[in-house]
Amino acid sequence: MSSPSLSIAASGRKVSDPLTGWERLKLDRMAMISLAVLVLSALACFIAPPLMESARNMTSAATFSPPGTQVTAADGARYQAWLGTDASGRDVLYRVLSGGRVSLVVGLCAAGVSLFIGTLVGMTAGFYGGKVDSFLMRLVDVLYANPRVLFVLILISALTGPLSLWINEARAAAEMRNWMTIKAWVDGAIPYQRTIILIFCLGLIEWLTMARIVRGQVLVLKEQQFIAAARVLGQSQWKIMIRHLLPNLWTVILTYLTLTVPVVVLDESFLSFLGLGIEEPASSWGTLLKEGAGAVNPLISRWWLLITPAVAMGLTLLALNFLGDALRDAFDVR
Amino acid sequence: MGRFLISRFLSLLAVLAVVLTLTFVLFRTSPGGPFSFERDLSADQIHAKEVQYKLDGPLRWQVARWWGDALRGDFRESMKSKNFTVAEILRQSLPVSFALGGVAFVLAATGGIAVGALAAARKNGWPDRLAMTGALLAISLPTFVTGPLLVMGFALTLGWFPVGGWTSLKHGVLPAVCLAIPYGAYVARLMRNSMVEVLGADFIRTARAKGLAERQVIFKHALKVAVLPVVSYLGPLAAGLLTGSVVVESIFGIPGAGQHFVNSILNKDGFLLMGAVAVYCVLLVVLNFLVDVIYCVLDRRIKLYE
Repeated sequence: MSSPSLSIAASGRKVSDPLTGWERLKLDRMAMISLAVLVLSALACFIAPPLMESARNMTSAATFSPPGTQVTAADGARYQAWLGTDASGRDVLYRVLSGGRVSLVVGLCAAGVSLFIGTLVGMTAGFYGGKVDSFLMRLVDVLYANPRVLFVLILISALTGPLSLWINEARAAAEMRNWMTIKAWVDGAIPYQRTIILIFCLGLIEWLTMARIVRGQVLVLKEQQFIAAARVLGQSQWKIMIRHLLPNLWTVILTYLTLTVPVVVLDESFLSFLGLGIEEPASSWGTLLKEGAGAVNPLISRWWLLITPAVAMGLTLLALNFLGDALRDAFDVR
Repeated sequence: MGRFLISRFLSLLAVLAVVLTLTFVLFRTSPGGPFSFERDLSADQIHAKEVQYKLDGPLRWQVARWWGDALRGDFRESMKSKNFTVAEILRQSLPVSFALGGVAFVLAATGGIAVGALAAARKNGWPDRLAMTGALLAISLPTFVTGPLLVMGFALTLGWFPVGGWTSLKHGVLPAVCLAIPYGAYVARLMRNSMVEVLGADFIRTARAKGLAERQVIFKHALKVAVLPVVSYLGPLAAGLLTGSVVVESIFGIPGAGQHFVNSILNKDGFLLMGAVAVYCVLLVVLNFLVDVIYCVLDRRIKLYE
């Protein structure tokens, strides 16, 4: 690795120039290690499961076998279960990796939803100020005072019925008009109903912090001269928001996106623990941890069922949190 | 200060009113009403049930009647656990949650403040890195992982504490620790960052320049100011801990109040839900108000609204 001062010199800048946020981030060793861990974990979750033997996802007679056992699956294929098998004789490693895929997708998408709502609310409140601002911020205060668990449970129970109704209607409508591609799409969405609901519900409850932070940043930006210049030049408010405010907000948004993903993954695992998360046969880290937590009992301790998903999720979320903190420090976001 | 506190109290009361009303409206308007578990009721029967539970008529009238009852201290009867009033259910479970949450609160607050202050005093040294990595890990793991891990280590392997149940003092140790871990970690991070900021302030430089010992600088001067952000977090922290946690209760088999938050929603037991939320919100309001008072006493720089 070339030393940072050399690479700065090579870029033709004076050494005395202050570092940009990215340069500060690159100097943060923990952040770079976290980034590597995240990339590895994402690659493992998304690429490895299709490459592994399909027998690993099949039930077998070898239930609860400890790590390192040779397992014969239902179709006769044999494989080495490095991290043991679960209650149905499936490979724990395979399930943890494919569960990670679900958890990461839910985490990213829900964080995306929360980011969208949070940025919209925060920008509106900060930019328009006055009554709009105080109304939106009181709303945020009230929602903060609500127990989050309760809110998400109510949302989930409220949305589950309407969504399946809506999917059925969409299917019928597509069938009637002979839109086969759309029907295939809708059919494809049926097993993922729970996931879709989770993404929206979690996105709908986790935007509060984002809204507050974005609003604070907009309040600072709004007073700066380039915004005044844009106003004087007669640009519309909409254009000022999109062209001038948003580009200056994106480090804040990136930072809080990174910090919201772990929160959402934790929320999802909590809901899975209550039996409201991802449903069988699909799995997420939450459902696997739930199984693992149930496997710890005084009679016989199947520790690998708990430790494997716990390590996978712990490492990934730790890396996300480290990276988020480093981003916050590098870009000096408050 | 008096005027500031009064206006804070009033706005907290307003939040309480809005949250409870909002919860009632959500529970009444969400599909699958409280009677949908009972098979095929005719419209008349549903109406009779609604009258029985005082849920007939327009929504605002239902809300108003609930408020009327609640303000008189009547939280009505549970809609699922027949023959139990909401007050009875909460009276049985809340003391358990208060005891457990109280211990967890003390653990989280003192442990978090101590770890955070020490980490800041050794900024970027190994104690700091170790403590902050540990705290971040504690935040990254759900309680239903730390719980079974604690059970595996301290109950099954070492045999120091019982696996679960709620009969002796010993039974409370693991659940309290489990409950305290994520919150303590959050407090530690908050404390560390605030302490680092304070240790860079001018008045600390003055204290050092006067030749004070480092210990005196940290404990006599910095701690008092650095603890303020933590103090403002203690209100929501206590409210969250005292009302119990469904996860910890189910892992350790504790008859606390946390389960009622979740189960009342899953069972569509609206009045129990309202009771549980009312307890949470009242706690939050009272504790936040207490925090404001403490804040005013601790931080003489605040002379708000005067």
